[in-house]
Amino acid sequence: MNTPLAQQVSAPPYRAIQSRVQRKSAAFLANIEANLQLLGKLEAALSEARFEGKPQHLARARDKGKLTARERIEALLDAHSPFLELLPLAGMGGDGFGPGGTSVGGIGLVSGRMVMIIANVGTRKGGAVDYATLQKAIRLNEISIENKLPVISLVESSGANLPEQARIFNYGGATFRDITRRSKAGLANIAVVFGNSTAGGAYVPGMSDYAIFVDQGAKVFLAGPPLVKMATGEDVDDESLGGAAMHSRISGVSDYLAADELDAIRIAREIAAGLPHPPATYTGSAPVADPLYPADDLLGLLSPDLRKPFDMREIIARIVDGSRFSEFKAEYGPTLVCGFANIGGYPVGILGNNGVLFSESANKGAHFIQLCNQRQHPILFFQNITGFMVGQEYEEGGIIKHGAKLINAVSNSTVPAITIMMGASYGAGNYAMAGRAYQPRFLFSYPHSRTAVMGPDQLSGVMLSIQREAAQKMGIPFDEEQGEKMRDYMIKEVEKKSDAWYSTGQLWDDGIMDPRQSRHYLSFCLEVLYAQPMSGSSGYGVFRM
Amino acid sequence: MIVQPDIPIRPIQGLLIANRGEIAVRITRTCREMGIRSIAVFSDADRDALHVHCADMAMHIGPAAVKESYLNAEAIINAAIQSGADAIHPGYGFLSENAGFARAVLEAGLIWVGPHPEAIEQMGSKAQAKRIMEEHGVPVIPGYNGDDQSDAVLIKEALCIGFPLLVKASAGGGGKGMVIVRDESGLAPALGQARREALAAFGDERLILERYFERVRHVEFQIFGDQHGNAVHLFERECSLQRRYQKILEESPSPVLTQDTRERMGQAALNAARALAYDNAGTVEFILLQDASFYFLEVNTRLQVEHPVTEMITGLDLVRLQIQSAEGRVLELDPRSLKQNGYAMELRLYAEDPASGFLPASGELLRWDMPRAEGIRIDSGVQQGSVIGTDYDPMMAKLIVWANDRPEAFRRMRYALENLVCLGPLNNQNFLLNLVKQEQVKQGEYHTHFLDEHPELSAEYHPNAEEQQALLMALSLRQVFVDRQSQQHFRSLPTSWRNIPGPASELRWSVAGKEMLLRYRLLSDETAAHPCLELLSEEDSQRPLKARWSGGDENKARIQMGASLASWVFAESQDGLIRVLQPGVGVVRVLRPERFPDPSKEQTGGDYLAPMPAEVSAVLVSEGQRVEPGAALLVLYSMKMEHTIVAVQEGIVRSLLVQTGERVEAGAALLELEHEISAS
Repeated sequence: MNTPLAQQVSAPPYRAIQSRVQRKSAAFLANIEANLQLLGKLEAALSEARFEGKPQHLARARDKGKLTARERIEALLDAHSPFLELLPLAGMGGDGFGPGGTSVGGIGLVSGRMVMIIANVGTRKGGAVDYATLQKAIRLNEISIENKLPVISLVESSGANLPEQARIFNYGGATFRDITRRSKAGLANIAVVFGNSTAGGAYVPGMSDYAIFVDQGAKVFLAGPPLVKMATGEDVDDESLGGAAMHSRISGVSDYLAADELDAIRIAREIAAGLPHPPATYTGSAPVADPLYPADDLLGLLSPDLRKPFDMREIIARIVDGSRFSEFKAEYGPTLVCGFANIGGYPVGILGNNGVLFSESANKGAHFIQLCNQRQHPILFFQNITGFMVGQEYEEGGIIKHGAKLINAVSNSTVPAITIMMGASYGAGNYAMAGRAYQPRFLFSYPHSRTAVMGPDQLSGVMLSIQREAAQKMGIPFDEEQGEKMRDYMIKEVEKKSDAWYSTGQLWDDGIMDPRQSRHYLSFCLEVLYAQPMSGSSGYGVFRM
Repeated sequence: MIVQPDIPIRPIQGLLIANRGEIAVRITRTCREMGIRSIAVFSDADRDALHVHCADMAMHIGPAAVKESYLNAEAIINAAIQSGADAIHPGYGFLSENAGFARAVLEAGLIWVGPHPEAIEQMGSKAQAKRIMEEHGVPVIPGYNGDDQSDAVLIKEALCIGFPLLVKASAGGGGKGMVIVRDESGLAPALGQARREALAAFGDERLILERYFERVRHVEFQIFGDQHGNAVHLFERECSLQRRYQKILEESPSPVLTQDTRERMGQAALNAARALAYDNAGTVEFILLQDASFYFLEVNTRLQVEHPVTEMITGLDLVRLQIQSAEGRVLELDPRSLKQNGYAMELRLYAEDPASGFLPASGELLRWDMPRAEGIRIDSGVQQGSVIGTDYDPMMAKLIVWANDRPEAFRRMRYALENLVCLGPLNNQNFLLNLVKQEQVKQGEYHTHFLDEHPELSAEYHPNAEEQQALLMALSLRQVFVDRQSQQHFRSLPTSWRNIPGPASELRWSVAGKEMLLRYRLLSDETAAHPCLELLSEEDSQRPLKARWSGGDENKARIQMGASLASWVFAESQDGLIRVLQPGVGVVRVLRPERFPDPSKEQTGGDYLAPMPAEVSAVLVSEGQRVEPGAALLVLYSMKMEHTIVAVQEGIVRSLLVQTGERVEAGAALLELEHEISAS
C-alpha cells in the first residue's frame, strides 16, 4: 500500500469558526503563564500519584520477578495502544494514602478489545485499600458497567486498610456485587492474581468469570496462616493454604495456572482475544481533519481568574474536527452556545456557556438536548457557568420554570454525555449543564475550574449578611471586625473546597486534564461511547410552559 | 573452416531442458530467441518453480528426490518423446556429464545438445582424462590413478607423491569426495571420508591421489567445437575465489594472465579439444602457479555455470552455439576475429550461511527484486515467493556484470549487490558485498584458499554504532506503523497516547543474536491516519537522532534519518524474523523478541541438533560411550555435502535419537550427551 502524497481528510460540511485570538495581548500571555503554573502543579500531583513504592520495596518485588502495577498494565495493553487513566488523583488532599490511592485504573486495548483495567499497586502499602481507593473502585466499576467494558483486574492487595475499616466495610461490598452484575450483563471479568488477595480480596478472583493465578505468587484465602492458627490451631503454610498450584489443581478457584507474571498476562490477553467485539463498531472515518488552530492557544484563552469571561467558540474551534461547528440558534439566548460538530470523526452536540443562563438560553438548551436525542448524538457540556440570572425582571420572566426545563431535559436525556469543567460551575448551573449528579459518562476538569454552590465572594458575602441580620434580630451588636475575619475564613474555605484539586480528590470528576489534551480525551471517550448502540430519549418529565 | 558435407543439418523444433533453476530459465531464453519450443521438466518439489513458468510447456518427471526425477534418465527421455521434443539439453550438473544418458538420448532418436558420449566418458574418469592429456602434451599433476584401490597401495603411492596431497573421487567434481592430507597420520581417515562421499555422490568409491599445491589459481578455458572438426577456445575465466571447492567469483580476463601464458594455456586447451574430437561446449580447467606454470585439472564436458562471463566478453550466446552445433551446423568462429572485449565477472548468490561454514539454507524467498541497469545481467532461477528447498543445489541466481575495465566492473557489481533485494532464506549477499569491497580481491591478489584465510568476509553483520542505531530506529518506526495499521480503535489518536505521560517507550530487538533495546519518544502529533512520525533515540542524548516515516508500508518504506532519506526493504516471516535491507549496509536479520516468551520452551542442555535438514549418513558412537571434546559423533549428508557433528564437551552418550539413513529436519535432536559436572 502506498501512501498518497496528500491524505484525504474528513470533516463535516459545516462552516469553520473564525478565531479572533490576540496572541500578543497582555491577557493572553498572562493566561499562559498562570495556566502553565497550574499545569506544573498538576504534573507534581501526578508524579506523586505515579509513586509505586519506596526503592527498596520495588527492588524486592523485582528480585521476586514481579512487575509493578504500571508495568503490568503496559505489558497487558496492545503494543502502541492508547490508555486513558481515570481518577489518577482520587483522594488527593485527603487523609488516606495520597493521590490515586493504591490502584491504577483506566481504559485501553487488550487483544484489540476495549477493556477497563484495574490494577492494585501491591508495592505501595501492600496494596491495602484506603477509602479513596474504594471510592475509585466503585466509580471505575460504574464506568465499566455504563459503557459496557469488560474488566481485567490485576490483583495484589492485602485487603482493606484496617484502621479505616469503618469507612470502608459497608460500601466495600459493592465492588463484589458489581463483578457479578457485570457478568450478568455479558461483560467478562478477568482476574489475574499476582500476589496476596486475602479475605474480601479473595472474592475478586472468586467472583470473576476467569481467574488466572501466578505460580508461587498468588496467595488467596479467606484467612491467612496466623488467623487460621488463632481460629482453629491449624498449622499451615501460605502456599498450601492458598497458593496458585493448590487453587489450580485442588480447589478450582483458579482456572489458569500461570508460570510467571508475563505468562499470566499472556493468558489474560488470550482470553480477551476471544471476547466478542462490541455491537456497534462505528469508527470515525479516519483520517480526520485537525482543528485549524493549535491546542496550545487554549492556555492563553482560558483565564484562571474566573471573573474574566472567554468566548466558548474559541475553545470549540480548538477541539472539533476542522474547527467546523454548525451553531444552533446563534442569535437567540447567546449566553448558551449550542451546535453540532465532529470530534475524531464522531458526531456530537455541544452545549457551552458564554455567560450566565437566561430564560432564553435555558429554553434553547432544552430544545437542543432534544435535538441531540433525536439525532442520537452524544452531548458534550462545556461548563463555565456562574448560575442562572437573578433579579425581579428575570423572576417575573419565569426563569425558575425555564431553568427547570433545561434540568428536565438534561435529567431525562438518554444519549451519553461528557462534561468538562472549563471554569466556574456554580449553583443550579452545575445541574443544568450535567454536573456530577446528572451522571455524564465521563467528567473531567481543567486545573483552574471551580465547583460550588456559588462563588467564594458571593458565598461569604451571603453568610456575612445572614449573620448580621441574625444579630440584628437578637438585638446583639454585630462585631464587624469579627465578621470580616469570618468572611476571609469563609472565602479561603470555599476556595479550597471548590477548586479542581479538591474536586478531583473527592471524585467529583474522573480526572484533571491539561486543556491542550481536550481533543484527545474527547475522541478517546467518544470512541468508547460509540462502541455501544445509543438511543435518544422517548420521553421527558413535564415541561412547564 | 572445415565443412563436412555428409553431416546433415537437423533443425531443432522442440528442446527439452533436462534441468531446473537458473540454467533451465536461461536456456529457455535462447530457445525463445531462436523460435524453438522449450519444454521444461519438473519434480513434485518444482511444480511452481520459475523454470516451469518460463518454458512453453512442462513435463512432470517424478518425486522431489533427484534420483527419481532430474537424475531419472528414463523418465526424462519419455517426457521428451511424449512432449514432441526432438532434442535434449542437459544444462549442467544432474545428467549433463553422464555418457550413458547421452547415448540413451541418441538411441531414442533425439538430438543431444552436448559433446559426443565418448568425450564425456573419457573425461568422466579422472584417471583416463589425465592419461589422454598427458599423451597430447598437456601438463598434468603428479599423482596416482591406478586400479589397485587397497589402502596399502594408496598409502604407499601417497608417500611417493609427497605431502600435501589431495585424495579425491575418481568420478568426482565440484569438491565432493575431496580431502587434503598434510601428513601421513591424516591419510587413513581421509581415505574413509573420501570413499564415503564418493559413493554417496557418484555411486563409485574409487579414489585418485594427487600432489596438492598451495596457493594456486584456478584458470579455465572455454572450448567449443562442432561436428565438422572445427574447434576454438573462447579465452579464459579465472575462478580462484572458491569456498568449499565451489567457485564463488568468476571473471575474465584473469587479472594475472600474461598474453604469453594465455596463448600457451589456450593452445593446451585446444590440444585437449582436438584430442577428444570435441564437438560442443566444454571447459578445460587448469591450476596456475605463481611461476606461470600450469597443470591440467579436468575437462568439464558441458556448459559451465560461469559461461555468462565468456558471453559478456565475447558477445556470443553459448547456448545458441551449442544448439547450432548439435544441429550439425558449422560454427563460424574464426579464432583471429575472437577478442576479449572489456571485462566481465560473475558472482553466485546462494541460499547459505557464510557465518557457519556456508551451510546450505532453505526457506521462502519473501522479497526478491533485481536491479536493472546497463551492464548488469542477472540469471535467476527464483522469483518472489519461491521456496528454496533442501532437495537441490541452493544457488538462487548469478549476478553478472560487464564493464570496460576491472575497476569499473567492481563498482558496477557493488552497485548491483547493494540494490539487489533478496530477503528470505539466509544467503551470501553480504558476503559477496564484503568480497567486492575487499582490497586484495579488488587488486586480483588471491588464490584458491583465499577465503579460508579471510574468515572475516563471511562473518555476520557487524554494524558500527551509528548503523546499528539507524537499524533499530527504522525497525521501531516500522513496528509502530504495523501495530497502528492493525489497531481497529482509536485511530485518530496519537500512537501510544497516554493522558498521563509515562516513561519513554521501549522496543527490544535481537540483532545477530544480541539483544538490543531502543527507547524512544514519539515526537509529533502523528496519528495512524498520518503514518509520519518521529523517533528520538535517548541512547545518545548528545546527538539525538530523529527518524521520520516518509511513506510506504511494512515491506518497503522511505525513512529519513537526520537529513538523509533512503529506502528500506523489510521481509517478516511468521516466526517474527525480520530481514532488513539496510541502505549502505546490506542485509540484516533481526528477531523481534516475543512479548510473552513461552516458559514451557526450556533450553535443553546437552542436545545435539541437526543444523539443517539432512540425511544421517553415519552414526559413529554408541549409547553409553564416553567421548572426548572434538570427537566425531555422527555424519550428516545434506545438499551434497558431508557435515560431521562433533562433541563440544567431554561426556557420555546418553541416548541416540537417530539412526543411519534417517532423514532429519533442521533443529531435530540427534543425540543426548551427558556432561559430567566437574567438581570445582
